Amino acid sequence: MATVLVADDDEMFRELVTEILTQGGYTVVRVKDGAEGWEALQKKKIDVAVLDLNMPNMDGLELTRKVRDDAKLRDLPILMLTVRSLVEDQVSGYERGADDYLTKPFDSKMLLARVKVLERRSQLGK
Amino acid sequence: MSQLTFWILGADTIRLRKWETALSREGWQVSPQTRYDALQAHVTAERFGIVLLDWNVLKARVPEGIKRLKAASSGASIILTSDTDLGPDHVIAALEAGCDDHFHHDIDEKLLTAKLKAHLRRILPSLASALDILKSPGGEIKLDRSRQEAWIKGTRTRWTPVSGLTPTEFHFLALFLEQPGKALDRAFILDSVSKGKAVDIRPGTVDKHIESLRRKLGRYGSMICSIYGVGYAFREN
Repeated sequence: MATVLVADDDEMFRELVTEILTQGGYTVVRVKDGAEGWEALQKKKIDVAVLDLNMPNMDGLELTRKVRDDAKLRDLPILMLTVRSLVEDQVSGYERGADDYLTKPFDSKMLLARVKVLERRSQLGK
Repeated sequence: MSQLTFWILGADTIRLRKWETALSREGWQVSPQTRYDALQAHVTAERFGIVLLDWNVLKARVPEGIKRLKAASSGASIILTSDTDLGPDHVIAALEAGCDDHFHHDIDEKLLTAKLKAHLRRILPSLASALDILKSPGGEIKLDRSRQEAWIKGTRTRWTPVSGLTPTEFHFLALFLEQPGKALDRAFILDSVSKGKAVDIRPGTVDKHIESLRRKLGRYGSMICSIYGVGYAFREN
């Protein structure tokens, strides 16, 4: 069973995403900011990361950048989840290493389908 | 494989041409297609590639078409494109059939290329890296577009980060490294930086940005030469 890291400082969204992914058959590791996310990535085997863009301590972009710079974690699939929908923000997210981008509010089935795609693509690369 | 191909399957020839132009500008090999069978033959013949598949060509048969393409080559990345009114259930069905992504036909061109680069990073790490890193022909200056950072050769051939580059200066530097030796006029430089977004930059300020960029590049700043009556060119000594 694949494990997904969910990093979001908004408790309501964090719980919502966790519930959707758990019902989809995933094990979820929940954290409330990028710094906790980075710590979790060091300790646990994570298959896909779903990151909020705006978080205290370390935001989603910074965490993405750290992941891409890390030899062991650089291939981790990352889905950016955010309330921002500006083209510039999305372009910036992709350029810094995000694999996919979903804007809040989102369709729960769409979130699950996109996480599955990232998991599948990452398996192909192994 | 000489070069990875982007196959664009679509019914709208104007959009096909527009996307072909946008992707060709990135230096990518693009092959517009209007028939699914011809597309499948190409995908079968080549091991890698990215397919942009217009929902309007196959409609309800999209999931089946995706499965056939994936069976023909697991190395092909398939992206569904559609009008904005396509319901999420159709998109989800396509994703579950093996599709790798989806976007609407009215996607901004910069977002389109950023998304495609994200796919390239995933399917061909070495190629994606090559696309992100630009180096001057003599190897004195390099930049990484994904990190938005630039370096110059320092003493003992170590790379020294170019500190304090503004996004505009970074963009200008990338423009010069993409086309070394070529004289770029001010209008072209200005157009390239302001295209598609609201940027407060006027023709006269191009010179100021270039001057500042030269300063930050230190001893390599003089490689950005002024071309009288035209603009600037990147020329190594």
